[in-house]
Amino acid sequence: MNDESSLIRRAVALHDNDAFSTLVKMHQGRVRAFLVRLCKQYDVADDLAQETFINAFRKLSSYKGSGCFSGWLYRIAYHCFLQHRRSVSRRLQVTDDYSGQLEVLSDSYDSISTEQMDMEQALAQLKPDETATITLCHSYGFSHQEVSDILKMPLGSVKSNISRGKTKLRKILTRESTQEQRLEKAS
Amino acid sequence: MNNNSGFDPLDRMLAQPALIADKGFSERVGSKLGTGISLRDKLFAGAGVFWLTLIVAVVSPQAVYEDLYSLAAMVDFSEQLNLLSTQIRSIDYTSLQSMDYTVLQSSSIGLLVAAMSIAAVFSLLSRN
Repeated sequence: MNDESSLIRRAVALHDNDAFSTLVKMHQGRVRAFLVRLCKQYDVADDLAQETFINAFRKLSSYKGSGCFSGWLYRIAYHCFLQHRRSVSRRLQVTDDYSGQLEVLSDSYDSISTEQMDMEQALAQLKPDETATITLCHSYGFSHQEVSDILKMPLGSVKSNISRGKTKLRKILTRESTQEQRLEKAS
Repeated sequence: MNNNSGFDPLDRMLAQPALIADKGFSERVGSKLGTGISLRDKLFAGAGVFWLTLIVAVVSPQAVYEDLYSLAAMVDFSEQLNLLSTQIRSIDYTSLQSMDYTVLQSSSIGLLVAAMSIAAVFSLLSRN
């Protein structure tokens, strides 16, 4: 009886800590990966992920069960990220340090291939709205309408962010592979 | 959920996201769930306890109970509403000093505030 719906029922109806902890275990990998992509800083993403789950536990009574539970979690995570972004005065920037961050991060992932590492680096160069929409739609399998509901973003903006982001990703990945080919030829 | 078929290489790469390993994260969150009382909750509870202490220090709990009981029996809401409407009608806006200002006795108001505080503390305790 440890399937997600029964755990959610127990957590919502009884405010059961154990049931919610199991839900945290089930969802933490994706929620933290989502926040790392948005924040580009592992420590900040980890703090925001904790905040996300604690807020989710406190707001369990507001979860109506009408939508997907993971979608509800991503909405809280995105809200935490937006609050964090407002609170820091400087704009989030992709710096050279991020490649260093990714090396640190590679130890934190369950397992990460070179291809996935390249993708994470490429995603780090997008705007947060583009990263969020692409991650939810293409990496986590939500529909455009679901992403629109989760991020509270108009459907048209979701589609344009995905389209713009994917165009940028293609350019970045093509540029990087061309550079690698040149390096191989030179050596 | 999105069920795209016929992925292009970019979609294929995006569909295989790297996930973060737990490494004690769930336990850290779990340990915070049990003690997740916010500063606002603590302040609210503290204010409630302060009120209760103040009431017990000033008057005995038995007296508080008797006062609340007699207050509940005494209050005639229709009379209070009539009094309020009369007062509003009688306000002379040209001079604040000309107001015929009679209100409930201050002790009754204090007891009302105390009763609200008790209710607030009980609601907080039942929530946690």
